Order: sequence, then structure tokens, then C-alpha cells
Amino acid sequence: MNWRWVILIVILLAIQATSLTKLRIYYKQTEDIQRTIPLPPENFLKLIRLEFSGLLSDFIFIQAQETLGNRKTGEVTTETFNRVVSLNERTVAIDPYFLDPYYLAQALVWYSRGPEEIRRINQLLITGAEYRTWDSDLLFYAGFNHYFFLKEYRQAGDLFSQAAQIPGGWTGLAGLAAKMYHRGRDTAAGIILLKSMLLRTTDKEIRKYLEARLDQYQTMYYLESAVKVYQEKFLIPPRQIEDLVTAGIIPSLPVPPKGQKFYLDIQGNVDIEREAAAKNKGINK
Amino acid sequence: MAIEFENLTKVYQTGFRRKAVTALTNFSLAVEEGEVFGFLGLNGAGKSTAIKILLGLINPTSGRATIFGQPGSDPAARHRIGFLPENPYLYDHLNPNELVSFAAGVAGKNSRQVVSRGRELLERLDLAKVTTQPVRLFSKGMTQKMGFIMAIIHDPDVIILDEPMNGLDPLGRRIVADIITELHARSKTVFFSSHILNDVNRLCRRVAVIHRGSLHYLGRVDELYDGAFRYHIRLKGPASELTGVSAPLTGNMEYTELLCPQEELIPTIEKINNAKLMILSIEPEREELEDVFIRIVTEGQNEPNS
Amino acid sequence: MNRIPNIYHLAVITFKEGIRNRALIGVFIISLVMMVINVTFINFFMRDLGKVSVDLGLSTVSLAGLILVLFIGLNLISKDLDKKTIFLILSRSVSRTQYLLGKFAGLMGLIIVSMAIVGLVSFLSVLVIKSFLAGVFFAKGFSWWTYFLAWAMSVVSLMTLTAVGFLFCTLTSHVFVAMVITSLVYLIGQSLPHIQELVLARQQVLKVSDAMKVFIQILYYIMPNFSLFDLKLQAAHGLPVDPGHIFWAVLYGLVYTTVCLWLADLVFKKKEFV
Repeated sequence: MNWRWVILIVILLAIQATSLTKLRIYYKQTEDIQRTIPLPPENFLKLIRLEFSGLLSDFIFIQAQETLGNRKTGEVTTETFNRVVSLNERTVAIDPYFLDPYYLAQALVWYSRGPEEIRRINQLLITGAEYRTWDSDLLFYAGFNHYFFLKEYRQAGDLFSQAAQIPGGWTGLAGLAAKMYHRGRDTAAGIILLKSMLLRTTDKEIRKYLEARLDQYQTMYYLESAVKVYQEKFLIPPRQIEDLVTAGIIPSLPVPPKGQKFYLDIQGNVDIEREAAAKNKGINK
Repeated sequence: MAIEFENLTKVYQTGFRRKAVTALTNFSLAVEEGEVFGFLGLNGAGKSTAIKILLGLINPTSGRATIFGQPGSDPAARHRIGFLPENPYLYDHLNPNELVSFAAGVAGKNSRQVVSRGRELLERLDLAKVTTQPVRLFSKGMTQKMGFIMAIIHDPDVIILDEPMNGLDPLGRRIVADIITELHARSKTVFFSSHILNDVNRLCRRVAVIHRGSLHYLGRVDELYDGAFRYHIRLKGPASELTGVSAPLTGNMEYTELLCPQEELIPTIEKINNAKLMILSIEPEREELEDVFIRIVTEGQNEPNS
Repeated sequence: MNRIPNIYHLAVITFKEGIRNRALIGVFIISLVMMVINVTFINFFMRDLGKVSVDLGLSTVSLAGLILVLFIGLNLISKDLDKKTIFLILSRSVSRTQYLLGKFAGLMGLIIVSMAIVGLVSFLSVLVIKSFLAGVFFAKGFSWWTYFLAWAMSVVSLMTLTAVGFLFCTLTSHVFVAMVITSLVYLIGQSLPHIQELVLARQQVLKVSDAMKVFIQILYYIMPNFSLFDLKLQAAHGLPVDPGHIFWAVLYGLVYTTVCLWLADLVFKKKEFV
């Protein structure tokens, strides 16, 4: 009587499949509800983690990824953004050394809708850098966000400068920091950074790079001082960089690196760029 | 003295209200070296309590229990003891070989000697085929036998057995009884408790009966056993012709049946003879242990014979 | 009189009784499954794959150890009391102290051997991930030595927990009650350092009365601080481990274990086996 069993099993399977499809609606609903349930506070998570901090942080991070992955449309709503960042904050509260939540947060910056959201992510990154002392990436991300989104050059310079001092990091960070300080009208800070880096560096290639940068920013600092003197003397800023020579403030223009040119931008700041670009920006003012 | 209980009293405090339950009252008993001694009593009479105090498993409220003069709470005193608890529970996942080597090991016995003795005992008690099987697969009787081996493997001077015949089949009982007799022949002291009068009669010279925590009888087992006999007498003729004998059980004009205690047998036969009646049969009738207890307990505490 | 042999013989039967327990095979199978999961689990992550695999590997070791101690280890001593197997032992020339030490030694043997097996499986799973799947995603400072230390400290933690369990087994002689209380002590011991941190924080997040503060402080010194033995994050991120940390934590564990066993012995000596 085997066929009876076969029929019974088929019926049971059919019932099971039907109920599963019916239940999927409710499952979807609970998913939506789940997304709005307040997250447990960090202190609570710290209490229940016992000795499984690592594992708990992994699971919370998966939640963050899920929240981001299950969004209904391509855009990231403020709701989703906040929830993912909150989940990331909790993940790193449990395991502050975990790289992935910082990495995901940085990816989220591109979906941010205002400076407050970016500052929140930067806060996360900077806290992370306090723990991941060997890792220049987090400071680099934070610096980049200050520079690119917030246009806060000095803060960006500070962060790049911290990143540059982490051993084994990217050499270009010191130059980048100096550039930010220059943009933030604090060229001197960049010069101090480059000098201190030179004191600690023995690698010939890196020294060569740092020396070239130092030379460049020292020249720009010299030109910036000349601009200040010009302004005090004539009460108006110079129109173009050559005015400094014709007015007799400096004997001659310093020699720029090959193929590059010093110029004054729209705000009257000294800058250096490739010759072609410089012509477009500065001279025809 | 191999074993001595002196004025032992034990009061248990039980439950939340610390209700006092007296298990032993002023209990005294001495077992001589080389003796096989039977310890009788109904359930809850205090047998196990006395044995546990002797082994140092519980402390007496007052009095003391000693093994060769040393208190049982001293591990050194227990060195010469082998003990089989009532309904022993052995380690589930161990096999007889491991249990035997453990039991011998804690006695600090030379292993080569013990291995051959262990093998011999396992062989005799029909466990030789299962020496590598975990004991959780054993029947009650097999577990009992295994516990018995563990109690005697290290050749102790005093062997204490709590209901050793429990769960054993007739053949098992026979073998255990034989081993006890052999131990007696090697002048070991065996102290065992039992329900079964027959086993006691077969093995012991002296017994003690304990009831409600105090000693009710101490003496030779045959005296206890003798008292347990009655005779069932059938005779031809009516009972009315007899005078001065125990009340007849049944009777009509043709036949009479009588129950008479052992000590009245000869006088009764004489009376029947005098009445010129014909005896058809005289059969001994054994009392059950319960009857013995009831008799001893109702008679009041016998003065222990010395 | 033959003190050490008695402890040894007891340890041997306790170890054998424990290692043949079927629940132990269950623990091994669960850890094996966890390790297989480990290989796929890392796919849910972006960069710190090494950390995630070490997390899962070492957490499985700890979890298996907890199950072992709470569900198998405590049973091995409670069952002795419950089923009166202890009569067979204490009726011999074995003192109660020897009994406790023998049982503890056997249990430690069981824990070390089982943890070695689970630890080896976890080591292999991380090794496979490091060698074939995600070697570049391991922390720069990652070292197998730290991994081993984290494993070893897990064992020290389990030793301390076992001693706590022994104490409650002798106090209650009821396996379920002992298990519940020991679990509670474990939970409190793991989270108490954080509670203490919260309560005594300079910037008060919680409003706590002074009496409560004193109570928490006292509790902090009485309860076993199990979080001291946790080196999983250090192993996962390749953080340096101070030898002083190891030294003091091991010393702490040993002292705590000794005190618990000593108290258990005091209780055990007074105990009546009715």
C-alpha cells in the first residue's frame, strides 16, 4: 500500500507550501515592523555580550548590511541612513577595532543629505581611529569628508596630518595635509608638519618627496607674505602674481617646479597649478 | 571487636520545619572478628542509618561506631572495609574491568595480584563475557554482582553488605552465599543486612533484629529460627476428647487439625496419646519473617544474650 | 596513606565517565558544524574577514566549554550524590577532600582534552580561511600565539567556573539548582565589570545611590571576574597581549579556584549522605 503514503506525503507538502506562501505576507510585514523597532542601547548590548563581543558585533553588522540591502528603492532614505549608522555605532561600541562598520559608514557618506549626517559619520571614524592606531585609512576617510563635503580644509589638514604620522601609511598623506593647510590659509602648519616628518624619515625616496613638498610650500609661504606686505602698502590685493615684482616687494618670482606656475586665484590666494590650468583660472581676472 | 556500635542515636532534621525524625535510639552492638553476622530489620528500621554511621557517611547525634576500634569517619579505618550499598549505582559508561581496577586502586593493592583475583571473581559471577561492556547495559542482578565484586576485590578484613541478595536469581544467590562462606573460612568478618530469613539461616551464626531504631533481638540465629517453627498436626477423631492443648484450627467428628508451638510439641503428642487418638501427620510450619518480627516486637525487647 | 594514587584513580574514572558521555559527542558535532559555517560566514563581510573567522572560531571554543562545564561537568559530581554512587567511593579509604580533588582533576582533564579537540578544529577552520580564502584580510598583527593564548585563557576561565560549580553542587546537592546558580554566577561575573564601570563612571549616566555603589563594589570583588580571561578580541585583531595581563589573570583564576574548592571542601566535610 505504498501509494497511500505517497499521496499522504504529497498532500502534506502541498499544505506546507501553501501555508508558507500565505505566511510570507506576514513575514514581510514583520520585516517592516522590525525596521522601525528601536535598537537596544549600547549599554544593554555591552551587558549581554558576555565573552562574545566579537560574535555579537559580527551579527549586529550583518543587520546593518541587511537594512541597507533590503531597502525598497535605489535611494537611501533618511530613515535607512540613520538606522544603518546607528547599527554601525552599536557594532563598534561592542568591538571598536572592527573595520567593516567604519568601511560601510564611509560608503554611506555618499548618500548623506547634510553636514550633520557627515559629521556623525566622521565622529564614528575618528573614534575608530583612536582604537585602530595602526590604521591610517579611517583618518584619511574622515579628512576626505571634511575636505570634500564640508570644505573644512584645516580640519581635513589636521586629520591627514595625523594619518601621515602613522608608520607604514601612504607617503602622499603629508603632502595632502600640507595642501589642505594651504587651502585653509594656514600654510605654516603644513610646513611644520613636513619638517617634522623629515626629521623622522630616513627612506631616501620619501625624503626626496617630502623635501620637494617642503620647498614648494615654503615658496608659497614666501609669496603669501609678500602678498600681505603688498596689501598693507597699497591697501588693495595684487591683481596678479607678477605685481609683486613690479611693485618691488620681491626682486623676482621664485622658480616653480617644471611645467607648473604660481598664480593668484579669485580670492587672491597664492596657488600653484599646471601652466595651462593656471592661465584659465588666475590671469584673466 | 571488628565492628562496634556504642549507644548510637541519630536524629534527622527534615523538611523546612526541621521536623525531627529519630532513626536510631541508644543502639549498641558488637560484632566479633571472623564472624558472619546477620542484621535484620524491616524497611526504615534503621539498618542503613547504622551502616552509614559506621562508614562515616553520616554523623551520629550521640554515641559512636568503630571499626577495629577506630571511628569510621577516619579514612584509615575504612582501609580494611569492603562495602556493597543497597541497590548500588555504578558509573554508567565504565566497564567491569575499569571498575575493578578502580576499586583495587583506591585500596592501593598490587595490580597483578588483583587482576587475577578480579578475573576469577568475574568468571565465578558470570560477568567474564561482559568485561568490556558499559555497566549501564547491565541488568539489576548483574549490577548487584558487580557491586559485590567491587566490595571484596581488595580482600578486605571486614565486609559490609546491605541487602546483598537483592535482585539476584537463585544461582546468583547461591554463588554469593558460597563466596561469603569462603570468606568466613578465611576468618573475614562479614556483616550483612537482609530481609530473607533463609539466607540468614544459611550463613550466620548470630543475628541482630532492629526495629524502629532500637535493638530488639540479639542472639543465635537458630534460636530465632527455632521460635519460628510451629507444627501442624492432623488427627483422627473429634477435638472434644482433647484437653489442655492449643485451640484447634478446624475440626469435626472425624478429623481435627491443630497448630502447636515448637516447645509444646512433646506434651501435645503425649496428650493425644493419652486420649488414644490417632495422629495422621505432623508437619513443621515455618513463620514468615514478618511473623517473626511481629512476635519479637510484640514480646518486647529481649535482653541481649551475651 | 596513598593520597595521590586515590586522587589519580578518581580522576581517571571521572575522565572516562565524562569522555564517553554522548552529550560530549553532540558538543563536538556542533563545533564541527560551526567551523564549516565559519568558511561561509565570512562571505557576509567586506574587509575584516580574518577577525570574523577568529571570532567564530574562538567563540565556539568558549561556548562548547560552557556547555561542557554546565551540562556535563556538574552532572558528573551531582549524579554521584544523587544516585549515591558516592557511597562506593567514600566507604573506602578515600577522604572527602581526596574525593573532591580527584573529581576536579578528572573534570579538568576532560575539559582540557575536549577543549583541545574543539580548539584544534577551530584552528583548522581559521587556518583554511587564512591560507586559501582570505589571507590578505587578516590583521597585520595577527599571530597564532595570541590565538593559542586566547584558547588557553578560555580553559583557565572554565577551570574557575568548574570550581564555582563544585561549590554550589556541594551546597545544594541538586544538579538543576547548582546548574542554574552557576550559570547566574557566570552571567554576573561576565557583565559585572561593565556594570561597575557604569555605576562608578565620573560622568554619571545612571543615578545610583551610594549604598548601591558600595554593594556593586563589594560584589565586584566577590564575584569571579570572567571577563579577565577573554582574549578573543586581541586574537582577532592581532592586538598585543601584555604578559602581565596573562600572569595576573592566571594567578587570579588559580586563587579563585583554590578558594572555591576549599569552601566546597569545608561544606563537603560537614555533609551527611543520607
